[in-house]
Amino acid sequence: MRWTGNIRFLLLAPAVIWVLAFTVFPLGYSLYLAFYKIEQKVEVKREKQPMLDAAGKPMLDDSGQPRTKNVVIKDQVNSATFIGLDNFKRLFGDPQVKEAIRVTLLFVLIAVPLELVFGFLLAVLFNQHIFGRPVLRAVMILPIFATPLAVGYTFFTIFYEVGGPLAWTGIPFLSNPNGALASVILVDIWQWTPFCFLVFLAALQGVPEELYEAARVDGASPWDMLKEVMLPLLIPTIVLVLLLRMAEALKLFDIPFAMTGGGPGVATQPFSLLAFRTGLRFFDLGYASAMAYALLIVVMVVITLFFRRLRVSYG
Amino acid sequence: MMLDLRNGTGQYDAFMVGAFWYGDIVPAGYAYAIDDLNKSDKYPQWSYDDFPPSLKTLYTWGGKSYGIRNDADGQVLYYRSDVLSDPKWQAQFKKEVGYDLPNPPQTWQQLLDISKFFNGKNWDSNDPDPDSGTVLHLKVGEQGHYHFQSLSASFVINPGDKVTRTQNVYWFDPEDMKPLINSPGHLKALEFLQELHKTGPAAQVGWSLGEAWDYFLRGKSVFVFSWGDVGALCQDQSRSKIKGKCAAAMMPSSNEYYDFTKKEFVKLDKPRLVGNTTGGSWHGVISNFSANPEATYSFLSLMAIKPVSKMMATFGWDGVDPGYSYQFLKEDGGTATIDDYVKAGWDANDAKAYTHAYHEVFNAPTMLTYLRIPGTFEYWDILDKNLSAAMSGGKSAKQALDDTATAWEGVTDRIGRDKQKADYQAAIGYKP
Repeated sequence: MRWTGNIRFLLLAPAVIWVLAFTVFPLGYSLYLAFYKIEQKVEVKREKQPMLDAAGKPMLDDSGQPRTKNVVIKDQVNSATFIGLDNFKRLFGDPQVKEAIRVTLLFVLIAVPLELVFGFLLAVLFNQHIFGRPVLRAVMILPIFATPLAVGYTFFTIFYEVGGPLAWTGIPFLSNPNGALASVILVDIWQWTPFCFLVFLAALQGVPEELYEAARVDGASPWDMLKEVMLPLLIPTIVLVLLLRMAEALKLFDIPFAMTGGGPGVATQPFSLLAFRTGLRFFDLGYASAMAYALLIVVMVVITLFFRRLRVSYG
Repeated sequence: MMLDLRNGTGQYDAFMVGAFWYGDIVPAGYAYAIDDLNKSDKYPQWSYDDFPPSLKTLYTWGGKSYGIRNDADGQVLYYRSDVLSDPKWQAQFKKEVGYDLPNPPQTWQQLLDISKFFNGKNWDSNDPDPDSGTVLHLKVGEQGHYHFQSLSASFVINPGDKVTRTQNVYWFDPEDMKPLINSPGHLKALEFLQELHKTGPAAQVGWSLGEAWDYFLRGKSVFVFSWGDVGALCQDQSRSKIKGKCAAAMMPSSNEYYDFTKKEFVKLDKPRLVGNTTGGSWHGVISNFSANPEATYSFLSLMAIKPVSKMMATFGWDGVDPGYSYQFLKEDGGTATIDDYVKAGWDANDAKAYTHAYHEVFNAPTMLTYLRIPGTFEYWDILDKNLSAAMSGGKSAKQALDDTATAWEGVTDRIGRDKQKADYQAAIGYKP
């Protein structure tokens, strides 16, 4: 059956309205905020207005006087001054931005490769016939389903340095700037290595058994099989997973928000957390929008470069 | 709250605010003045006359009243009365440190000596592990900067009868809004706080209120300086091992302060009491968008009337801390009795020390000036992050305060220096 006529548009309307309201409008409005300085002032007047019944007649109180209701008349004066690229220029001179970029890059450059390596090694292991594989595989992927915010609070308890389960190690998990960043990275690895593992395992299980048999006939060692059979076939999957994880990692927010609050100092404050605080704690919405757009541009550039590279290498 | 106000939604009739929000909500026209309602006899009756001046200021702005009485925040020193009065420890302290163990300490320098002395010793018999001197709550984004404010007040505030460019100022120079936060007095205070931090668990850099209070309540530290909640929590034996041993005192004083006029440190012969209203003194403010301000005022006033307000302060665990005359004992000029507190579950000695400490801290001859100008939260956040970096070893004390001052200049310029100056002068009562 084929839909014809205007009913097609009617059925599409909810989706279109949703996208316009919750994606396109916020995107456009935040861009507007990034280029304007908004100042708000409100004047309030109050009036007593008669209350009317269903028939439109004035309602009376027990003493026969007309009942009134308060009506608030708001005169909200919003002035918007065009400030051009000022908010974007501020980004370059802001030491907090510099530090947040350092933290974010460090996080991405350490956490993401480790997640891929561990995920790949686990996938290779689980691609063998090991005892209890179905159960272990199910257990392995559980962290993916945990809410990152809850994970952050859980690990705050685990890393609690006085009386926590790991307190005996004497490691300053949260009280030392480097220790805290390492802890955030560790938790992210714990949560997202299973995702890499799952995708790699699916890809590995798609490799035809004949290729392994042919390699064995040619006298390939397990290392040769990994290097010459598995890896070349998995490269597109690895690039895809790398891309997805990098895009996510660049937006890191929940785990440091819950676990360290971005501290000590700003040692674990990633760019997204800084943008959130700027916008929703200090209501510097223009500057926060500029931050968000800067992050968007960086993520888009990274993704575009990777896709281009992928296309060049693998058509 | 701010989204509702900024967008003019008007969904809420009132907000429970910290006093530091006044600079953001009153000048912008978001708050409803309650003077007429407070004078009317149509609503539950309470009065600003019961307030000490230091707290009354926080509930008003520009000569108009906005806040409906509820909480009174300030930091006092809590200490283990049993440990400091123990003859065994007193003798050992004198032998090791060279002077009589002050009970309680009058100066910060004495407190540091005591903290150092007790840190690492197992002076509390609740467990076999070593205990600490002072516990702090230093987690970034939480209440760490409040510690610094209360502690540094006596290193910085220059006493005087009125607010001048150099007297009774702490945050900014009221003439040009240049930050004072990196003054030699502030720097010395931060270096002191770094020293004090070493007498507590290293993990406290990542601790908020709950963890630090719990540490003290479990009998693991001799001192904590914090809000009124601690005194009440000490009495809750389901979580406290120190009921009857939890004394409180006015915050100690530094034995020197930085004179802004002479530009040198002044040594003091005797301790100088500097009070504080550190915190939020959380209370209700009616939204200017409320269609029913009278009903809202009436409702909030139910919590402000004396019997309710007194009951809440004596229980304490509800977050309402004492500050008003009828919550203080008769010996401090109040109308409450020790029985009021004992009936609420207090140890009599703990309650006496507690209420006296709070009376002192709100009625001190010199007070830490309270910051409540537009952007206060942002100024504090910058300070907080830099303090946290200094306490965790990421920055030196000087670097942290210099970075704070530089960033504050940026905030002031962005919001508008002249506007900020006018609001700051009004907030601290400075007349050019």
